[in-house]
Parts: sequence; C-alpha cells; structure tokens
Amino acid sequence: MTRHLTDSAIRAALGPGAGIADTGLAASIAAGVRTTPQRRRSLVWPWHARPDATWPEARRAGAIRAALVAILVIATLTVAAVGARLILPRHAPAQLLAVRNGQLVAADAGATGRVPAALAGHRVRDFNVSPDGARIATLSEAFELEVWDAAEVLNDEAAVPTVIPGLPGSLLGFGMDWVPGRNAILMAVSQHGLHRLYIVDVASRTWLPVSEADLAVTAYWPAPDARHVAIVGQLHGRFGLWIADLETGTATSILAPDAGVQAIALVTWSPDSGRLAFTGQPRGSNLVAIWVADADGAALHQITPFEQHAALPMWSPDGAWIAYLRDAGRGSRCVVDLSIVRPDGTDARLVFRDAPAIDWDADSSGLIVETDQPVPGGPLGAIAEIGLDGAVKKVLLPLDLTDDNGSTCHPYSLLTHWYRGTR
Amino acid sequence: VTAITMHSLAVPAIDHLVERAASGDRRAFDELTEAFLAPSLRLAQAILRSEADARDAVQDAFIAAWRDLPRLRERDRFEPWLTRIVVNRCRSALRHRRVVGVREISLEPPRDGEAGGAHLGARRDARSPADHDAVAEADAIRRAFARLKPDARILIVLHHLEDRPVAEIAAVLGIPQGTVKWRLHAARAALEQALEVESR
Repeated sequence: MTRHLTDSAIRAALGPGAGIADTGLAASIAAGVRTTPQRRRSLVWPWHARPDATWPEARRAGAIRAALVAILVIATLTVAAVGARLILPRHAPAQLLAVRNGQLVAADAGATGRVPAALAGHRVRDFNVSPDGARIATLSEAFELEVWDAAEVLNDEAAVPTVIPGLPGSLLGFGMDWVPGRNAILMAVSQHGLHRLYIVDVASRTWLPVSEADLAVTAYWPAPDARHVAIVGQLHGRFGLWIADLETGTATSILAPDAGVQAIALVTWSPDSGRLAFTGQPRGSNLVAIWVADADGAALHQITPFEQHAALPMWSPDGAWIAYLRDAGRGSRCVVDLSIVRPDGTDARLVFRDAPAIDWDADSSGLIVETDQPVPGGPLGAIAEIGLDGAVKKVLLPLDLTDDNGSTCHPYSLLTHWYRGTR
Repeated sequence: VTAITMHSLAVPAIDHLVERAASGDRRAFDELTEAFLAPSLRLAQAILRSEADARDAVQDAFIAAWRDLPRLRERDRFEPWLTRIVVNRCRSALRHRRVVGVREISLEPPRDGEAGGAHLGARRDARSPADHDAVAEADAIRRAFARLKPDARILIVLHHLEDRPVAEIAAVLGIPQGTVKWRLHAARAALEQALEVESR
C-alpha cells in the first residue's frame, strides 16, 4: 500500500527554499557566449542529440547511438578475434576442456575446473572441439555421437545436442576429428573386422566413406586444408601411408615400398598442408625416428636420430618448428621429454622434461605441457604454458591427483584438448 | 545594466531580443540570460537537488541555446525551447550521475512557515512536534524523489512545482498531452511508492 501525497506536501518538500544565488553565473554564461560561435547550419548526424531535442528525438538518437556503438564494438571484437586467432564466436569462458572421470570439465586459467551444467551427469568417453570453437562433439557412454553448441555449453545455458545415429550394423571405432572449416567429423568405424574411415556431415547426419572398403585404417589425420586426410593402414597385408581426398573420395599411397621407412605412425600435417611429419621405423629395426615428407611423398628425410621411442611430432602453427616427445625413462619409470627441432632437422633442443602431453601456443611462442612434476602454481603438477626455453609462463590447470583414477597416468592424459587461442 | 526579470519583460520585447540574439547580438542574449536565468536555475535545482549540478546544467544549457538559437524558427517559442534545453541538460546530468550512497542534507534553516530540510542544530529542539512531523515528511519526500528516474523527476517538477499545465509540459518536452498525463500519473505513483520505501 502506498501513501497518498498532496500537491502541497510535494511543493513544500521540493520547493526552492531560499533559492540559489545566481552570483557570477550570468557572467560565466556571457563569457561562454563570447567564445562560442553560433551554429547557423548544422550537420545533424543521426546520432547527434541536439540540445533542444524533444524526448522522442532524444530517445531515438540514443537508440541509434547505442546500436552504432554495439556495431562498432562487435566489428572491433571481430577484427581483434580474427587478428589474434581467437576462435570462440561469442564467449571464451573456458581456456581448457578435459574429461575427468567421465565428465567434461571446463577450466579457466589456474582454476580446478567445473562441469558445464548441460553436461552434468552426462558421461562422455571422448570429445573434440571444432577448430572454430563453435561446436563440441562428444562420444557418449552409449557410443552416440553428439554435437553441442560450445557457447551454450560453456555459458551454462540449456543445451540440446544434435545426436547422430551410428551406421546400421557398425560399431563406432575410434577418432572424432572435426574437418577444419566444415561442419563435419571424421571417424573410423568398425565394419566387417576392419576400420573404415567415414566423414559425418553433422547437418544432414549422414555418413560417407572416405577410404576403400579393404583398407584397414589404423589411424588418420585430417589436413588443415579441410580437403585431405592422411591415413595409416594396411592394405592386403602391407602397411602404408595414404592421402585421401575428401572431395574426390580417392586415396593415394604416397610411400614407395622401398622408401626405407615403414610402420608409419603419428602423422601430423604442416600448417599449410604441404608437408607431413611422422614417426617411422626402418625395415627390420625397432628404433624410431621422425621423418618429414611432402604431401605427395617427395623429399622424404629423417629429422631426428633413431630412438627407442619418439612420438607425437607436432608442427608449430607458424610451421617453423616441430615439437616431439621422446621417452627418456629407465625401466618401468616413464619420463617423457619434450624437444623441438626445425623441419629440416636442424636446431634440435630439449625444452621440458617429463611432459607427456603437448600442444603449441597459437602464436608459436610457446607450448602447452602436461606434467605431474611440481611447477610454480601447480605443486602437484599442472597443465601449463611454457616458453621455447622451457620456462613456465602460466599455469592453466593445476592437477589434482586426488582425482586420479588409480592408473599410473593422471586423469587428464590424452583426453585434454587445449582450447587453442581462447586466451 | 538594469536588472531585468522575465516577468518584467513584455512578450514583444522578448521576441525582439530573441530575434537580435539569433542574429548574433551577444548583448541581446545577455539580456535574455538576465531574464531567464533565475527561473532556469530554480527548475534545474528542483530536478537535480544539487546547487552545483544545477549551475553547471544551466550554464551548459544557456551556451547551447546561444549556439543553436539561429536554428530556432519559431522565435515566439523561445521560453519553452530554452526550458527544453535546460530539462535535457538536467536529464543528461542525472543519467551520468554516479549512484553513490550519499544523502544530501540541507544545512539551511527553514524559513518561517516552510517545512525545510533535515535541519541540524539547536533550532530543531525549539520546534513543536507538528514541526518535527512536517520536517520528517519533507525529508522523506526528498529522499523518495531522489529515487525516481530522471523523466519522472522532471515531470513532477514541471507540474507540481512550476505549476505548468499539461499542454505546456507537452510543448516543452515534445510529447503528446495524453502521454504527459499518463506519465505524470506514473511519476506520482512512483513517488508515492518510493516514499513508502523511505518511510519504512
């Protein structure tokens, strides 16, 4: 219930009282008038609210001004986002996504992570984020392929995934890689005792084969050009490396039987899709080295010495370096060292000891490492950003070993995808 | 220069001054300033509840009026036009005013027969209980007024303090009379609700 006010009460309360002395004000106005030219013709910009604007005019001008400011802000952010290779279209509330004990976890720098509301209680086996950061694909506990709006998930909005049914008579096999620039996912599907590579068009929810039916795919790596895929597999009992063209549907073997390297594994594309780096063994040897070749198989050359284990070659975004891991442990003790080398095999250097998972910074100035060794800000280990000199620049996610699932590896291993460029 | 007030100037004299000022005659504008400064200051003070802000708003408004005066086609509409500029400056000042938890308390003693501010000092003790009630109510109304949005403040001041009719307020603000009526009703209701909150 409100009190009833009389006009006299309002007048008495808000009235002028003793009034204001206008001492000096007239002189100030006169001085201002002396220095202010009159505006005989006005350039009336649509967002310029004139001093004598009526209220509707002022409101309209305010709305136009607000709209223009919003457009300017959006344009600025868009330009900044493109320039800085930011990839989340709306918000970047998380820098890092990981699967922890079957739950997708989003974390900001230094935070322990949270389960997005839309995925609370929703167990996933694996996930992957589209290169533009707009979508997240998850593989559910029931092996359903689901595609989520990343902004909805990360902003804790109500999110409903697009569920893509599997191929009849097939089991989902492995892999779940976004094709850059397309709303499509590559997956290897188990059929008739071997894995065949398919591309899944998310919009139409259709599956199209990429590899031949008799090529047993053991691994694949999509190229940044969104057109080619490197496939390692076995055809009629012989291992090899193939390049499949997603547009023509053809796959071409690029390594001759006498190329001197076999047992190809862990292929990565150069950022321009023109070259490949991969681990391989010479025929009849158990030692491993990293090799680089053109996308058509030409110019094959070895860039690291033979090791017992060498793995995960990864091109820097600017194509100037290749980072890789080598096992420097003894016996059952696993110590994985991170090294970098130029694509021509020169300037090799050890960067970080004991870092089993890596990725590059978007600007190639550093690397993301996952270590269970104490680092500043992560006494139990961390996912951290380091420089090329190995110095820790920033802890992105302190590791909590109490979440360990009991294995010898901490729970983030191999299921961590650096949310590239969202910093 | 003889002091001139708005009421002492005949309408034809104002129109003539406006015409001269619009032609760039600064002395004519000085005379218009003398005529309209006091009522403009009262209006701004009533809306803004701050003397310093009122002086700033009025000074800006008069200089803006000088600058845009040549664009005023209906020279006989100078007073509502100037009032609109003053009101717009007050509105702008209110919108840009930072919200801080400060209550302004008038230190000025009330005049005889007037329910003044929340007065401090020994004079309060000399008043009757009825005086205390009036002072308390006036203080509550001022605080409730401070809670209102700029548009509501302006309408209440123009109508209840300046006694301007609805048609004149509509002309000043550039909105239909019907809109003025329902906005006035809404502003009054908002003031009463705010008063209820302040009285708790």
